[in-house]
Amino acid sequence: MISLSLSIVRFECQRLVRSPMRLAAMGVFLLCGMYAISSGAHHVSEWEKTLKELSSRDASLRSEALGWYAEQVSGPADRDWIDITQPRYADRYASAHAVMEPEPLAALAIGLSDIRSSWAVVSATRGAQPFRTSDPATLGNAEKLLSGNFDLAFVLAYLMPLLLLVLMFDVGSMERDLGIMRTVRTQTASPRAWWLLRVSLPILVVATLVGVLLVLGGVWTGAIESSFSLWKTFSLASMGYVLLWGILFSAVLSAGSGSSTAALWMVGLWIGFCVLVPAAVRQVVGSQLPNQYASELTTVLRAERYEILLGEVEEYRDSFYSSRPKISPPTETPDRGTASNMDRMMKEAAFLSKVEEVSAEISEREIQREAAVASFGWINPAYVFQNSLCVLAGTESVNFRNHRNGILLAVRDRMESLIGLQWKMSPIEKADFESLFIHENWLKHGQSPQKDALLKGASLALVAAFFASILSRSKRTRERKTGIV
Amino acid sequence: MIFKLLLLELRSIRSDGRLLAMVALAMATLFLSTWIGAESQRMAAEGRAAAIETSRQQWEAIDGLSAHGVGHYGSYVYKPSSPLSTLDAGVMPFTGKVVRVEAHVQSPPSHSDAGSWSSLIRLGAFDAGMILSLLIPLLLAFSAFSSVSRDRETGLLRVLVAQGVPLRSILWGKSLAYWCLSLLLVGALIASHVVLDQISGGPLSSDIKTRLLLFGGSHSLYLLIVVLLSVWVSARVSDSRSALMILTIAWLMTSVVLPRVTAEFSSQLFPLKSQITFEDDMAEDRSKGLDGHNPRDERRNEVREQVLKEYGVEKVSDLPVNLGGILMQKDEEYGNLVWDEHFGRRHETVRKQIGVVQAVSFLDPFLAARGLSMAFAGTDQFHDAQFQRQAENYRRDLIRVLNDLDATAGTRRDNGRWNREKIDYATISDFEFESQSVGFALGHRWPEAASLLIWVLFSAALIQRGTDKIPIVGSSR
Repeated sequence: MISLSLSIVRFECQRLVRSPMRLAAMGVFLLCGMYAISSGAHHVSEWEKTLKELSSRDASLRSEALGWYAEQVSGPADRDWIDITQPRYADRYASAHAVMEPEPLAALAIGLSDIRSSWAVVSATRGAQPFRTSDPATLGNAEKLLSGNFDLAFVLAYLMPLLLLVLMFDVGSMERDLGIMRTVRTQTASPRAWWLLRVSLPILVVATLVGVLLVLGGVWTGAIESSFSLWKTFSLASMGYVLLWGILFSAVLSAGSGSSTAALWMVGLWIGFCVLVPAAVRQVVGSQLPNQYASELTTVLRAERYEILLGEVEEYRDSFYSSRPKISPPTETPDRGTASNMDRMMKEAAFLSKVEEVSAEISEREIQREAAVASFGWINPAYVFQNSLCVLAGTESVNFRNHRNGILLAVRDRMESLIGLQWKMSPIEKADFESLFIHENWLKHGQSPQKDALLKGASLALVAAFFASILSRSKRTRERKTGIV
Repeated sequence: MIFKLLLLELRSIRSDGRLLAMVALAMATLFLSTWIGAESQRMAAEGRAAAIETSRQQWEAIDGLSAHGVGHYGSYVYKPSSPLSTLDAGVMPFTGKVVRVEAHVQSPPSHSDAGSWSSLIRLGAFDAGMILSLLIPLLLAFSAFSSVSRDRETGLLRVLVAQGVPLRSILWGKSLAYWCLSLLLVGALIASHVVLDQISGGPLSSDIKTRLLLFGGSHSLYLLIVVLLSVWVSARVSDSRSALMILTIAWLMTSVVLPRVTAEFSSQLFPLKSQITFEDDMAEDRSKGLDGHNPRDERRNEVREQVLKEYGVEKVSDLPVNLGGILMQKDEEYGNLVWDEHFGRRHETVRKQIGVVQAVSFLDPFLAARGLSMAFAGTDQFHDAQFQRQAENYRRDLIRVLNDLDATAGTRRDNGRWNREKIDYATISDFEFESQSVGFALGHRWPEAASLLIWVLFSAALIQRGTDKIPIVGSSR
């Protein structure tokens, strides 16, 4: 057995070395992987740069306002209408952004982070804008987005199966082409072990190359250092995916065809699983649950907002106080300015509730659409794998949905703080002003449910094993019937 | 001779069950994608009509707002689908479908499909454009990789050449046979599209017919390039397995890797400002003046003095018009200069990025085919930019009309205050999109068209003139 293994290893090594195309394919794969890691790292550095810009902008506005407090003035001399002790201006100068920071693995799977925005303004008086996070790309080059991103997740999900195909398609089938399969079987002590070793070696080679890229990516982006457990899960999922394609291609080879037929089958599987099925699933689910023209949201943001702002405050007063037991209507009649501010705050609170409602509806629809996509998961391994990696990297739609909810929570938080300050009916002091931004609990990373990724990987492996058993069973049946090896 | 060889090869293809199955599968996929696309387009059109109706009802229900207030209330413009987007969705899933139209702000389109989908949207679209430019070439390469090498390995090639058949005629015969298969697919696709349009009652305008023909023509040319190169590689390389590997790697590099790398490279060569910097710069110019020395208040004072002089009065309360409306319009016009400057620069950068891709298309015909496919379907970046331009022009016209109404629709009271008249906003019409002619598409995509033609000539020259080094006898024999 050991001598068989050694001779097969020697044979496969010679075959690799003597085939410039195979070596070139491996070299191209490694180069693509390295380029993908560098491209992802560049993207994340731009992401971090934007967050830094936001942070410095926030700091600059806040320090300007704190300077007025220090000088005991209400605002700048050249803009006398600004009064930092009033909620409206305190809200503006306590500048804050709800941001989504890149996770440690974000550079390896950038997912939707080049399509969706990772930040939004937190303001209670300028209208909540959680959906502004959805479309920064419309200002950019959509043809670039159409081309797709070139990150490690893409290299692993798309290119790795093709490398495996190039290395595997003539394993066994070449012997059939040359008509020496029967000789091989008779001269080998264990044909099954011979076959298993032959198909295992290309899988091992590809797994090694993938491992090299994962380690390189982990070290380059600092993911191994900052979150080893996430990187470990990411790597396990990737190795599982290599194994999945290895099993699928082995099943094709075990069906006992020649090299060109095997190659056709393999490329058919690749096209099916990596291109056709994901695209078809998107089209089918899209036609069942279409993304229409966002009428409900635009209605809230325009018609309903105006209806609330131009309507009578009495309409919202009862619900405002009943949902805030700690606040009660002022016992003394406030001055005109304060009364107007309080009315405005009640209306803004009513508007925010509307935005929260419509946001929940839209999120629900997105979840339904994703559930419909997930129901095709068993025939959609490339997407399941990519989705798992993106979830781990915090760049999938679920992470951005959490971020959107985070924005709404941050705005709600700001709103309640301002309401509390407004109902004190006294000018906002420095400490109160600072309290508006001191607890930036909305600074969040994407969530990374590692278990989900592993569960998805395990279910895919089961499906692969099922396919493999069907294919190899049909091969054994045919061999029994025809006697042809 | 070539015709006879073509018929011979077609007969051989007809007897190959695997190839026939592949062609049938490709055809079924094309039909399915067209049918699902048409269904999605019908639903999108219904959705758009409903959204327009809702928005219009809200607009007509406006009550109690001044004309400038209505400018702030604003409107929405909804992007229509191109009639050929069922064939190639292009950039549509990544661009916004709704544009908020309001005073003082040029808003980019929002609510794209990509904004509400998971990363599934990155895995390509199920449309004819994708199938014809990505999948069929791979299937053709996998069908043609052994077209010559197999004959060489079986000795048939030696026999044919010994019988006096020129090698280039053999290669042409085989290439044209595989191209006929491609034409069958493209023809069937176009026929199915025409039939679906007839069934749904949509008349095909001459522009759409031309676009449809050019769409089919550009894909046919690209498939011809693929076929010629595949047959040449099969002839040039010593064995089928090497030919298969070369073609697989070439397909991978040209159709998957290079487009992404080029897109990345172009964005690094001509980087766009981040959204935050873009918005900050616009806000700064909006408030300080384009040259940084002209604060807004000074401009307003200048305009006021001009208006007073024009009407020959000394006080604003003596003006027969509402100064507020005039000031708003002047401010709007100044804002438009700022938007033109910043959005213009951004569009120019995007145009340069696309220029890089167009230049690389001379190395990679896939990029040329994809660019032409989107352009003829009316779904490329240039068509989208045209929609954005029209939406912005509508916004400017709408706000100008509203500001003019704000300035003139009213009378001056004796106490000098302006008394506004009630205005019927329902008389203001909605946005109407003017589609672009096929000349627009060709005008922006001539580099891709030139690239495709050069590639056709180059690959034809390979077959015609590059047969000298083609081995007739296999190394094993």
